[in-house]
Amino acid sequence: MAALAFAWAGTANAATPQQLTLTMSDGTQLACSLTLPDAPATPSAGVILFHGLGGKHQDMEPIATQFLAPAGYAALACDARGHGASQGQFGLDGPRDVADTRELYDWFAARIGTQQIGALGVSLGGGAVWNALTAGVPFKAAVPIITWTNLLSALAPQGLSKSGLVQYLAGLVPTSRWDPQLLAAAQGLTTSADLTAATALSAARSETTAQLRSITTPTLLVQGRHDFLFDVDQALAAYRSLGGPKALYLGDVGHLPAANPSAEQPTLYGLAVKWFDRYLKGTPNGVDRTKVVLAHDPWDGRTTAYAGVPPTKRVTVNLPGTTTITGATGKVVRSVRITGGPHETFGDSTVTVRYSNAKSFDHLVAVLAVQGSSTPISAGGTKLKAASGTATIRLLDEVVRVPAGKKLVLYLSSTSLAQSPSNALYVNAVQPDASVTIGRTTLALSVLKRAVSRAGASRRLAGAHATPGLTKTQIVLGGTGPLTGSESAYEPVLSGAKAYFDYVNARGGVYGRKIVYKVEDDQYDPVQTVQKTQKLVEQDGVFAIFNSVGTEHALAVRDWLNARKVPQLFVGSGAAAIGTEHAKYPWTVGLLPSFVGEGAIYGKLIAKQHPNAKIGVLYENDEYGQELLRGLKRGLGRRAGQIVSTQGYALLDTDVISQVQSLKASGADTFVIFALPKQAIQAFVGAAKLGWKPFEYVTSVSIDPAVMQIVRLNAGAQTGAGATSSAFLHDPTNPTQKGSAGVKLYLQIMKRYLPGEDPRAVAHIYGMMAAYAMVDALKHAGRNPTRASLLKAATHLHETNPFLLPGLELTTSPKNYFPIQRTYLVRFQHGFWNVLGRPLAVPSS
Amino acid sequence: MKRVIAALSVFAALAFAQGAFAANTGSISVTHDPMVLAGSKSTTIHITLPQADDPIAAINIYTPSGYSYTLSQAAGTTIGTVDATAFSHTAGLTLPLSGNVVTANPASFTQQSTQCTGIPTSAAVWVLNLSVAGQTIQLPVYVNPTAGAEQVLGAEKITVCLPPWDVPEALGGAAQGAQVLDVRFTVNGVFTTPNAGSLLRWDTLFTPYTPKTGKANPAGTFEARAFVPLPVILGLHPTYLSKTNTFRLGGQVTEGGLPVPNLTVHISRGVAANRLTQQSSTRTGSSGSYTTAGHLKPRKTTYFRINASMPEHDFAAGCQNPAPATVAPAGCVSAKLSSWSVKSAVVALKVPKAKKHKK
Repeated sequence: MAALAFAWAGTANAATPQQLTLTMSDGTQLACSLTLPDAPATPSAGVILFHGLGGKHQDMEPIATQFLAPAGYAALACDARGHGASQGQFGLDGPRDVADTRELYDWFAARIGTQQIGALGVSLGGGAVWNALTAGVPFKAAVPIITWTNLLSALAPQGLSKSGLVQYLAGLVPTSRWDPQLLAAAQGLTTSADLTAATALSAARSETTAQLRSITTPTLLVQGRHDFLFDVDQALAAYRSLGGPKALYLGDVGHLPAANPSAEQPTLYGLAVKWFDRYLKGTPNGVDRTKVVLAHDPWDGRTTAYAGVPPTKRVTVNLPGTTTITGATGKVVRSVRITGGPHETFGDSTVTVRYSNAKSFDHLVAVLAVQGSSTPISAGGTKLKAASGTATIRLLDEVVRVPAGKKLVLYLSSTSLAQSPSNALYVNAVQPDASVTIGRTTLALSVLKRAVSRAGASRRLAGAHATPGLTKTQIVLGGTGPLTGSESAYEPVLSGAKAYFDYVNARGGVYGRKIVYKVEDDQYDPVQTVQKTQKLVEQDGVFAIFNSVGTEHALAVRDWLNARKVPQLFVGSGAAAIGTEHAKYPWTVGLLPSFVGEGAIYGKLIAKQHPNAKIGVLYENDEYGQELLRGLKRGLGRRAGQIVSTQGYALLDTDVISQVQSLKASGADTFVIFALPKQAIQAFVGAAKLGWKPFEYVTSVSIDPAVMQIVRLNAGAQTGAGATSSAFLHDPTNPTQKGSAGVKLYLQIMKRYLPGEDPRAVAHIYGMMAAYAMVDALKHAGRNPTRASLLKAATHLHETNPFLLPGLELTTSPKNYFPIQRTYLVRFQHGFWNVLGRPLAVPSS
Repeated sequence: MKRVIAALSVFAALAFAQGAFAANTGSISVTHDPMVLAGSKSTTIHITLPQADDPIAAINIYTPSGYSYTLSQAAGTTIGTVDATAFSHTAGLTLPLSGNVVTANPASFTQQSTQCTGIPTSAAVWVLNLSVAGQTIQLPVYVNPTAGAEQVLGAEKITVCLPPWDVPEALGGAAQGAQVLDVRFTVNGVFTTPNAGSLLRWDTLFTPYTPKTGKANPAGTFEARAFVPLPVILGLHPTYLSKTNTFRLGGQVTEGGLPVPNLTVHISRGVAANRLTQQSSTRTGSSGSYTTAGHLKPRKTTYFRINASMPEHDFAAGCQNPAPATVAPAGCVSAKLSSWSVKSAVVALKVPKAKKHKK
C-alpha cells in the first residue's frame, strides 16, 4: 500500500531519475531508477529506496529528487518483484527479496563508488529495510517508515485477522503475480480460521527481540500516529530493542486513517536527510540527540521531543450493562465521558469484556470513537474461546487526541462495520444465529501524561475536514486507467490530460495553484478501479476524481464517490447511466457524446442513404455496445427490421473473426462496427480477408489514425475506404486540420511535455480536451473552491474547447450531463478521416 | 548472472554442436544520402526478419573500416527516425511502428548494455522509439568499438537485442508477442563515409533464440551482408550541334567504381538552373553508359541534370568467402546492395552566339 502520497512538484533544477533495468542473480529483471545529484559529480553516499505494497519505484522518486539529490545523495529505487515493471513473483519481503536487496546494494555501491549507503523504505519497503538489516546487508543507516516488525501481530492481532484490511491489501497486487506460498497465507488471514501458513510467513519476515537487539545500524523509525495497519507498537518494539543509535518520529502519516498532509513531508524527510548526513557522511548535526519526536495532529508544523518513550498514565472507566447481541449486525454501544482532558491516547489500551452464553459467537471486535466522529480512535478484536468468561481486547496503539468533555463511544460486535459502514477493518461476521451476552465492560485507556496536540485535532475527529486535495499551492486530482495491460492504448487519455495540466501549471496554474494529477493503474479491471479510487480519495486525499477511463469502471465507483460527495468528473463515457442518472448521482458527470445518440446518428444516416440496406452489427456485449445498438435501432426507426444479424463479442474474446463470418453469411451489405479499436481492426481486416465488401460504419471510439493504418497494412490500402464514423476531436494527423489553433496547441504541448510519446494518437488530444474542461471548471469554481463549487461549475459549463472540431462546444447544466451534444460525420478517404458537412445534434437518450 | 547474448554469439560458437536450426534468412542493407565519399552524414540501416524464421536474440552490425564516427551527441538528441513493422502474435496483426531515434546516456543503460553486449557502458546508446496508437516500445541500440578477433569484421559494432516473441511476456518474452519483421532506421551526423571508394561491406551477425525457450542459440548464428557502393556517380556530358541546334547527352553511371547496366536515367532540362523539368529518360547499356539527344528550343543556354534510383537488391556474389564457422556457424544467408537515389550536378550547355555575316 503506497500510503504516503507524494506530489510531483520538483523544482526546475531537480535531478532526473534515470530508468534502468537490473538483473538479479536468478535472471529476474527489476525495473529501477537511479537518481544522481547534480553535484558533486561523484556522490559520497547513497540511499536505496523501497516502495510500498502495490506501488512502484516511481513512487519513491520524489523523495530522491526533492530531498536526497539536493543534499548530495545518489538514490536507487526499484520495483519490487511482482510489482510495476519488474519481473518475478511478489514475495512480501521474503528471502528472495532480501537477496535482491543485497544484490542491489552491491550494484549501487559499485555504481557510485562508495559503501556509505543507507536504506529508506515505506510500508512494504520498510519491511524490506528491516529484513535486510536482520540479514546483515551492510547499510550504514536506515529509515524504515510506517511498517512492521511483527507482521502477524500487525495483520492478525490476538489471532483475529483485520480481514477487511487484509482483503484490501491483497487486491493491491494481482494474484497472478504472487508467490503461491503467499496465497495460502492470505486465504487463512482473510478468515482467521487457520493462521498456520500466515504464522510461518510472518516468522520469516519479522524481527524477534533478539534480532532487533543485534541490529546496530543507526535507525530512524518513522511511524504513523493513527495507522490501523501498522500501529505505534510495531515501531516501539523496535525502538526499545535496537542495539545501535536510534530515534523515533511519530507523525501524521501512515495507512488509514492517517491524514498524510503534504506539508509535513519536508519535516519528515528533512529529518531523514539529517539522519543520513550524520551516519553516512559523518556530519555532526546533533540529530543523534533526537530520541522520540511526536508531530502534532493535525499537522501544524510543530513537534514535541521526548528523551525516550513518552510517559503515559492510565484512565480506567467502567461501562456497565448487560446486552445480548445476535448475528452480524448485533452490537453493543456504550458511551462514557472521561474526566479531565484533553487527553491524547498513547500506549496499550484495553477493553475487558465480561460475556456469557456465547453461541457460535466466536470472536468479538471493539471500536472506540469520539462521539460524533466517524473516524474511530482505535479498534481491536479477539477470539472468544469459551461460552462465558472475560475477554481482553488490546486496542491498536494509536496516538489520537480526545477533546476535553467529549464522550467516548465503545462499539462491540463481530465486525468493525458496527461502528460505521465505512469502517472495513474487521469484516468477518458471525453466523446470523450466533449470539452472546455482553456484561460489564472496562475500558483502560493509556494516554500521554500531557496531551501535546492542539485543540484543532478535535475538528478532524469530529469529521470537519478541510477541503481535501486543496492547499494554498496545489489542487490534487486523481484518476484511474489502464497504464499497463492489454488495454493500455488508453493510457494517452491520462498522459494527455497531465500534459495539459503541466502546460497550465507552467502558466501559473489555476488562481496560483498548480494542478497535481495522480493517476493510478487499474489495468482496465473494475475491481482494481474500486481499490485505486478509494486509495486516491482516502489516502491521497484528492479533491476530485477526473478523467478515469471506462464505463464499467466509472459505474463501479459511482455509488461510493457519490456517497462521499467526491466529484467524479468528465468520465470518458457516453453511457446513459452516466449521462442521465444525475438526479441519483449528481456528483458524476460524463464527457463523451451519448452512446445511444451516436448509434442513432448512424441509424438515421443508413436509413437515408441506404434505405434498402441489410445491416449486420458487431457490438461489444456490454453497456457500451448495447447502447450503441439501441441507438442504431432508434435511428433506423421503422427500418430497424433491416438489421439481419447482430453479433456480440466479449472483451476477453481473442478475436472477432467468427462474428464477422456470421455477419457476412447473413447476407448483410452494411457492416456496423460498435467495437473498441482492437476489435474494430480485426473486424475491418476480417471482412477484407473474407472478401466481404459492405458499406462500413464504425463507432467514434475507434477512429484513431493508427486503427486504419493497421487495417490497411494488414488487409490492403483500399480496406476501410469509404467507411463512415463520427468525430468531435481534431485529428492532428489530418493535413486539412494542421493549421487549426487547437492542433497547433496540441502539438506544442506534446513537444514540450510529452516529447517521447506519439503525437499521432488521438487519445492524447482527447485527454487534453478533458483537461481543458477541468481547468475551466476549476476556474469557475472560484478562488477558494470546494467540492460543491467544483460540481456546480462542472454542471454549468459553456465553453469553446480548442481541441474540439470547429463549431462544437462543451455545455452542461444540472439537467444535462452529456457535455458534447453535437458531432460531425467523418468518412475515411485518401488515408484520413475527413469531416463531412455541418455538425449534427447527438440525441442524449 | 548475466546472459551476455550478443557477446556470446560471436567467437563462442565452437563450443556448441552444429545442432538443428531453422533456415533463417534475415537480411540487412545500408545506404547513405547522398552516396558520396568523405561527406555523407545520413545513414539508413534496413533489417528484415522473415516471419517464418526463429526469433532473433541479437543483431550485431559491423561497420567497415574507413568510416569516421561522431558519437558525442548529448543525451536526448534526436538523431534520426525509425520505421518498423512487427507482427503481434497476441492480436494476430501486423503493426506499423515509427518514431524518432534519440541518443541516451550510456550510464543509464549499464545493465541492459551488459546483458546485450557484455559491455557495461557502451560508447553510445541510441533508443529507437517505436510507436503505434500512443504506445511506444523503446528499443535500445548499443554502439561500441570492436575488440580482439572481432576487429576483422569491422571497426565499430552496432548491437540490438530483441526479446523472444514465442515466450510469454511474464517469462521475459516480447510485449504483445511482438515479432519484429522489418526495421529501417536513419541516423544523421553519426557516420561519415570513407575517403576511398569501393564496395563497402557491412557484416552482420544474427543470433536466433532456440524456439520457445527464450535462450539464445549461438550455434544458429548466421551472417548477412550489406554492400554499400561508394561513390555513386552519374556522369553527364552534354555537347551542342550547332548545325541542327540539337544536343547530345552522354555519360556513365557507376556505383563503387563498377558500371550500372540497364538502369533508367531520367533527364531534366530547362533554361534556368533552378527550373528544371523532367523531359525524357533513357537506359544505360552493359557498360553503364547512356546517350540521348534532342532539339534545343529556344536557341539558349540550356541546363541539364539527370537522376536515377536503384532499389535495394540481392548481390549474388556477396556471400563469397563467408565468415568462418567459428563466427557464423549457420553461414552467410544473404547479401544486399544498397538502394540509392541520386541526382547529378546541373550542367549548362552554352549555345554559341550565331556569327554575324558582314554585308
